[in-house]
Amino acid sequence: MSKNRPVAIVGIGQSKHRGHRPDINQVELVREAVTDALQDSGLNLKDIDCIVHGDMELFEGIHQPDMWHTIGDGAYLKSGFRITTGGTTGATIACAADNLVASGYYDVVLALGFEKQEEGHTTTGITNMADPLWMREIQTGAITGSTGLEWVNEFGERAEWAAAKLRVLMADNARRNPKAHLRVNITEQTVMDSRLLAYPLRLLHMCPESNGACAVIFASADKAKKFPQKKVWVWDHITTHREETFYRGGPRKDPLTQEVAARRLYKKVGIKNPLKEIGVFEMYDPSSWWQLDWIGNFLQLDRKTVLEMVERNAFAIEGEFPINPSGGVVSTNPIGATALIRVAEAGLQLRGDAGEHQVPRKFDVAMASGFGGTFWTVLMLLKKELEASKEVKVAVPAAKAKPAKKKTAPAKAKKTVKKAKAKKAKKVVKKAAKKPAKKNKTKPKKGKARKGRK
Amino acid sequence: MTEEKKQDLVEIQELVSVPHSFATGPVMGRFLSEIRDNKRIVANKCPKCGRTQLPPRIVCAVCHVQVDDWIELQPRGEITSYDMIFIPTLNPLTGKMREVPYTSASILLDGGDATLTHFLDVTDPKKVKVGMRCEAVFRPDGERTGSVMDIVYFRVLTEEGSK
Repeated sequence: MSKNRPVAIVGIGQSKHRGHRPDINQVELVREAVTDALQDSGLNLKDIDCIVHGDMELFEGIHQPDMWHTIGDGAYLKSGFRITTGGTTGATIACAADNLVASGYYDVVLALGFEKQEEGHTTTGITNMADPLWMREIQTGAITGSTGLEWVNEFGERAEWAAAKLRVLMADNARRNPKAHLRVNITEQTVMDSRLLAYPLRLLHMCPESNGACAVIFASADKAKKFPQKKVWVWDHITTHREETFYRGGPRKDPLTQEVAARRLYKKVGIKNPLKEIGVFEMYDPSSWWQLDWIGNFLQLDRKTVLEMVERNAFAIEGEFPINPSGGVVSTNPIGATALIRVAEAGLQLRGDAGEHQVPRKFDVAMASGFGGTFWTVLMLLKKELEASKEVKVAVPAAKAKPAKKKTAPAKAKKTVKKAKAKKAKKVVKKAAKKPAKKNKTKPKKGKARKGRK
Repeated sequence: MTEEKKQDLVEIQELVSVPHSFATGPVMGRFLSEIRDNKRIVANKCPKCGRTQLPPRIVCAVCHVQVDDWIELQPRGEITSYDMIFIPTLNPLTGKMREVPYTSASILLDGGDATLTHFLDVTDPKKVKVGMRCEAVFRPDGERTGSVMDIVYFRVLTEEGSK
């Protein structure tokens, strides 16, 4: 399977995420993020074909909130999709937006994730995810220390200090991110002294409940070309579910979804050495213990190596492999937006627009992960450039007009071929433009023979 | 001279209380009936891979074949994982705050290879370890209704008491 056509991220926006936002209602909160994304992209609402809206409904107790939010997200008279997949929602709406644009049905899609958590009751929402026939009575929302317990059983107090160190790193990063919610100045001792929730999980290890929204605009290559903001490209993404993750059988017999997602995605795109080939990772860290545990799963490292890397601060913004320069989920967690914020922050990093929390080195690939309460993982890779040689194999009639040698042709030869094919491509572009025309208020540009250029 | 009064922010409060009645279906229904009527814990076993599932489900989650074989498991087993919760949270099923500390655990029951999740009677971190054995404590006859709480908790067995 491969993409029909490449998809770029052309706009990124977030509200300022806060613990309390009594000053605005949900619609207005959503509007903050959408306005921010439109400003960032230099686009207008009329440029957007479709809105993909996501949150965890039970948290605010509103069914189909996208109906209420049409004024805030600009979905009025546009196509819309509604996605609710727990904690992964933000990442799933990014994948959906990518799929929708790649399909050719929509040229510009806005993904919008939000949560106004203080308006409802989070534990109720999460409890209601458990099956009513057995688990619901026993489940305690998101509070669990069993993973940390495994680490402590294996490494003793060293593991606790490592989790604390990670938490401090996230706080240090969040203070460099004006959009982050918790921007606290803490030490490892502060973390170790914080209130015990479920041994060894402590209050400071745990993500907060935030109010916030995030909007990311995805566009086809053709459209993206004309848009003013720097583009980054969606390379690929994957979603994994595994039944046995709920086994909780102690020494795990089966790998977790993080490990499976990483293995499959890397194989699909050809990544052999994630530590070297990926420049930054915005990972979904619901708690510092899960962050400690999953780093190794995603990066294919054993626990001891991860411990050593944490201890030498390898995951800092200026370190060997920066993780969560934004401060991560433990600093900011408006659940429906959280996983989309990972994609947004990864995109900002690739663009070089992350300001004070920008990773200083040059890199071409960024990774973002999403996680949900049913333990599934969404993993997305973004690229700075889309090489011409990686032309996708397309079965759409329009594409057949292109010469097959494009696959290996160097960039120079492409330009001359391009000119000669201008006429043919004109017809091709017109044909393709017809499909989304009815959704687009703007007239499709004709004559630009750039359909093949990435 | 008029003073600009800061606008009052109005907040709308709402309390939602929703009654539910969930059908358990024949598989889960059998599982709960065995607990209620006979103080027995049963699981189903996949004819293809041999996996047991707890609580039982209509298909094997790995093989996706219908699972019709039932086996009885012992109401005791080994603790494979646990969470000792110290922070009170609201139980949305009762509207009351949970009493803390309490311990939820995954228990590998003797006779199968699947774990069951329930509570333990021990809430002192020094007294529980992964690997210890525990045994189900059922509610008395007449008080069991066919639900997860027909088991009060699993009692952690000390060295002398474990089999």
